[in-house]
Amino acid sequence: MSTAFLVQLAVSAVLVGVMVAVAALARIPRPAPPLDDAGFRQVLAVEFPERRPDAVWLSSDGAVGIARAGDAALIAYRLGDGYVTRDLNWGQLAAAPRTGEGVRLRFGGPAGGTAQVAWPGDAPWPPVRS
Amino acid sequence: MQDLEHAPFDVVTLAVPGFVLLILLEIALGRLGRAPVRYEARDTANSLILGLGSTVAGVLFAGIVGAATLWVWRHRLIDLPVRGWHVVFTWLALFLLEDLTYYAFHRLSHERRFWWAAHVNHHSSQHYNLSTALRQTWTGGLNGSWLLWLPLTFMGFPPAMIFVQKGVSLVYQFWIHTEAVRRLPAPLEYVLNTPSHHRVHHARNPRYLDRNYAGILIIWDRMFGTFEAEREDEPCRYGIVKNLGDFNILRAVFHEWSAIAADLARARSPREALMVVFGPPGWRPDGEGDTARGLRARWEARQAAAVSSPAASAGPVRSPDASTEAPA
Repeated sequence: MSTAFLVQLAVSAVLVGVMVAVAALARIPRPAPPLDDAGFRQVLAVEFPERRPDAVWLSSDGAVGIARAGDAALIAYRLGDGYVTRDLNWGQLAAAPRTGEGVRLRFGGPAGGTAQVAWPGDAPWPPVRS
Repeated sequence: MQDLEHAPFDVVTLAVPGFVLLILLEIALGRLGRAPVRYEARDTANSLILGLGSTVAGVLFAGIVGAATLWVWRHRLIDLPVRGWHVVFTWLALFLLEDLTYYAFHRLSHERRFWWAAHVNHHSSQHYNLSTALRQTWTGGLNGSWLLWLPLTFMGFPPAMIFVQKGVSLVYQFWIHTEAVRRLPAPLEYVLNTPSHHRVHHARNPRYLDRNYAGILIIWDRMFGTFEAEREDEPCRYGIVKNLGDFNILRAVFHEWSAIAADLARARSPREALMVVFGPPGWRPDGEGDTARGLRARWEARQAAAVSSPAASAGPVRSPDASTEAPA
C-alpha cells in the first residue's frame, strides 16, 4: 500500500469520525417509543404474519415483547431506534438465565443478538397467563 | 484517454469530498425538519466503517483483478475507436453495456447465495440514508464477481475506460440512497434508477424483495421483469429478511459466509451442498426456507385470502421499524 493511499485512508477515517459525531449530535433517530400491547401485536402481524399469538407479555421497560404461539416464543427487542424479531422454542425461552435486572435472551445463529428483558424478580419465568 | 490500460484518475476517490458534504447536508435537512431523514449513530458508524474497510479490501484484490483484466485486454477481439470524435460511440456503447453488466452482477448478488454473502452487508442496515450507500462489501473480491466485467475488456473496451465508467456508476448510485427525495419527474423515473426505485430495492417487504437491480438505468428491470414501483400505501421497511441482532461490524461482514459454512457442514448430499452455496438465499433442503420467491408467494396467498375473506384480514399494519408513528 502506497503512502498516498495510507494518507487518504487516515483522512477518510477522521472524516468518518466527524460524520458519526454529527449524526449523533443531530439526534434524528426514528421515534421508537416503548412497546405497548397494540404496538407489539402490530409488530407481530408484520414480522410473523402466519403465526397467531396465544398471549403476549411486555418487559417492564417496554423494550422487549414476548408472545407465545403454540410451542414457539416470538420476540421483538429494541436495537438502536428499531426492533429486531426472533423466534425460539418455548423451552429455550424458559431456560434463559435470570440476571440481576431480569432475563437475558441470547439468540444463536449467524444473525445473533441478545435481548435483555427487564422482568421483575418476583414475576414467574417463563411468563404465564394471568 | 492516452493510456488505455490505466485510468488517469479514480472517479470514486474524487467524489469522496462530495459524499461527505452531501451526508452532512442530509443530516442538516433532517435536523431542521426539512426532509424525512433519520440517522442512528451506531448504524451510521457501521455503514461508514464498512465503506472505509471496503477500500482496503479493494486494494488487496486489485492486483489479481488488474492482472486478469490486462491479460484479457491483450487478447481482445477488436480495437474499438478510442481517438477522435468516434470515441463518443465507444463511450455510449460502454455506458449501456457496463450498466447491463452491473444489472447482471447485482441480480446475481441477490439471487445466488455465494454472491449474496458478499453483498448482504450493503443491505443489513434498517436505515436508508446516504451513509447506507457507503456500506460496501469487504469480500466482493473473493467470489469472483469482477469476472463479469471481463467480457467488456475482451470485446475491446479499454480497461481505463471501464474503470472510469464503473466509478461513474458507483458515484451515481450514491445519491439515490435517500428518503429526502420523493420522486423525480416521470420521464426520469421511467428511465433512470432513482431514490424511489432504489428504496424499493432496499426494502424487505415481500412485495419489494429482489426488485430493481438497476445501476443507472432502470430500463433493464423493466425489460427483464424485475421492476417494482414504490407505493404510497406500502412504506418500505429496510433491512434484510432476518435482521442482524446487534451492531457488531464483523457480523455484518461475515454472517452470511458463516451461515453458509454451518449449512455446508450439515449438508447430506453433494446436491444439497451445491444448493447451500449456489442456491437462492434462504434455501433449505426441507423446502421451508425463507427465499424471496417463497416469501412473496406466501404473501400473495395471504393477500388473495384477505380479498376473498376480508373479515379474516388483519388490515393494514404499521411497520415496526420504518414508521414515524407511535405504536397504536
